[in-house]
Amino acid sequence: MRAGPGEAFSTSFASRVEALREEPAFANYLTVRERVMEMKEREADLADGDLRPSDYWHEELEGFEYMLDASPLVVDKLRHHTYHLTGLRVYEYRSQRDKHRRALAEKLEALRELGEDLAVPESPALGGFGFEIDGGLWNVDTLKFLECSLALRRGGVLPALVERPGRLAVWEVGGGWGGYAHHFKTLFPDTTYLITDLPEVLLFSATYLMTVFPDARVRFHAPGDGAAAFADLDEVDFVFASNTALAETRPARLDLALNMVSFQEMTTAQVRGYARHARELGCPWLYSLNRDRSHYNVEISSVGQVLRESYWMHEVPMLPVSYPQPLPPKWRKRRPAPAPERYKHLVGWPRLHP
Amino acid sequence: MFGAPLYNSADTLPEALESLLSQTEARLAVVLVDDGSSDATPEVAASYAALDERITYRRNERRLGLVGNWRRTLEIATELFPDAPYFAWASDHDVWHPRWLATVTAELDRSPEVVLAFTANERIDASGDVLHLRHRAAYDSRRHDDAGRRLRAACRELVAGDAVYGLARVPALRRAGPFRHVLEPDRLLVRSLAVHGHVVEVPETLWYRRIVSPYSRGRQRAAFFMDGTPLHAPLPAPLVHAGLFAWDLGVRGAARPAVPRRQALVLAGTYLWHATAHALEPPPGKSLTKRRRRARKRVDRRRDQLRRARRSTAKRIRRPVRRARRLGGGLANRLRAAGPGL
Repeated sequence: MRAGPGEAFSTSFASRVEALREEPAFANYLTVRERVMEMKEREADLADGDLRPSDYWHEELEGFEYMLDASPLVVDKLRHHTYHLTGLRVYEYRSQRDKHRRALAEKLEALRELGEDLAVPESPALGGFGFEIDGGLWNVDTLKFLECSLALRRGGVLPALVERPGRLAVWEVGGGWGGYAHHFKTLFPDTTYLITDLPEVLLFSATYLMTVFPDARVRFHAPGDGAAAFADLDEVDFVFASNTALAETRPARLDLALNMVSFQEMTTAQVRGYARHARELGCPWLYSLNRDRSHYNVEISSVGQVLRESYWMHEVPMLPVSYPQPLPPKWRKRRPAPAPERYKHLVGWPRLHP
Repeated sequence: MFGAPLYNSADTLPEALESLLSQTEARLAVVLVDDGSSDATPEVAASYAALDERITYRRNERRLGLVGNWRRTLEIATELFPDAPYFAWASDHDVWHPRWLATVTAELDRSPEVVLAFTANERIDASGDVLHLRHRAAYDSRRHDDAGRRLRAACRELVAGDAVYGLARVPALRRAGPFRHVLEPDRLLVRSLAVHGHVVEVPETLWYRRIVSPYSRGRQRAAFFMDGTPLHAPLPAPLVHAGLFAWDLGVRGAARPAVPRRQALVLAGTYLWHATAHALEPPPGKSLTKRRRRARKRVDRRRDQLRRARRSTAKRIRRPVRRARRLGGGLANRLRAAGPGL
């Protein structure tokens, strides 16, 4: 007896799901989920109020609770679900959106003029999306990462890191979906990249990075694990640590601490804590791309002011608009004045006597 | 070595000093000379000197003024560190990137013909935020071999306020005559240095200039001359500078053998011509046509205002005259109507 059309679909769908279940990406997801659950269990025992996510993040986390029990299909299109973290959706990059594509291409060109060698397009893995320009996928996030690297170069940080002998140790607070880690690790493979984030967010970043760098050596750090995850950092590519394990996050060496678009969503105490911790660890550079305060977050006064308690922060001017905005017409001739509510590229070095 | 002349900068001094102490170049000495500050500057400077042995702190016995203190700072620094090959003046409210010294030192080490090296900078406000975006080509005089061409380029293209905070070779600085008692001494100094060798701007942005108040000649006069305004102060600065130039190069022979005495008058003339032309140019970013257009608009607006004022004045005068006429006419008519019996 021949199977009906509905049955044929069910069979092929089931076999596709099964095939995806066998993919390394899903295996990576399961590994990450196991560690995240462990982090969450240990986190429940902690009563430190400063480590509690801000109200803004509390609401955000509820939006992607489903990631704790994601199907192979969700993992296969993981990047389509990162809009919870970035606000970028796949449909904004459909082929019919020519105006949006033109604006993005123009901005990409402007950034490439500042430093072509730092451009890293989005990987097509796990549903990577963007407009295809010159053979690579480009979206607002990839342009942001390029702009950040250019700001790090212009702010004198990248030249200092390049001159430094040996392997680099970079600490990203709030790694998002792992996009900048992918960007940085592609440019500087001899780097140990530490990410501190809310455990649920590590589901995105750790799964993504373990999949796009299949040979990467990875460690996880949950509260109570001690210092083992940060020993012999030269032997590891990525360390994923829970934000609640901040006190134990003590790598022997740190060359750069950075944050993109999440200090603005934290509380004053949290931002102060991260900056102080980086300074205590002897990190010579702190980089931040944030507005002084997110419109939705009332729990912080000003990111720049709080960071300046531990680091001497200075703005590095890049394009005349913030990273999510397109360039205004004739911007080369009529450079607009910097908007007060802009995202600021801040580069800082430690205060000697805070 | 850095020499920082200080005056009433307690708020900004910690950041400026820490940025100097954070330099990645290990060979570093910082000389602080306070010119009789009335705020907490002496306490801040003394506390940092106690914390870090690379800092030497001195205080002038009497107020020397800006020019005097700049000269005094160089004098003390070269006395304390006679073997130091390089010197930079440090402002008490600016900020230096930790790589600044290493970068400009490397430039001077690499190129013996360069006498002054500085880096690109950003203008910042009190909180450290960028004031405006600046994109311009980095200055490099190495395209000119001839001293006259270098001087011309320095007069027309070099931003003296930026270059004067660069790292200079001490012997060249001495030959050029550091900070004279004239208005705009920074311009005279960097243009003189351009005659003695090459001036190079490293395109990396490694210095943040805090803009406290805009440039003003009046403020310079008040801050520069503590012992009374010199006779030449009312004269245009390029004229005074050209005179000093002729004296230095022609009489003192300060740039011999590279620049022979007989060339001095030509260079002084070059200075006078190009420095005057530069002084008359509109500020950067504003073209002459734009200024003219704006001036024309202002004139038009004023002319309209005057016309309107004249019209309303005329109305105001005409109205009572007409009324008087009307009144007068009415009276005459009534008289006429009353008849001859009246």
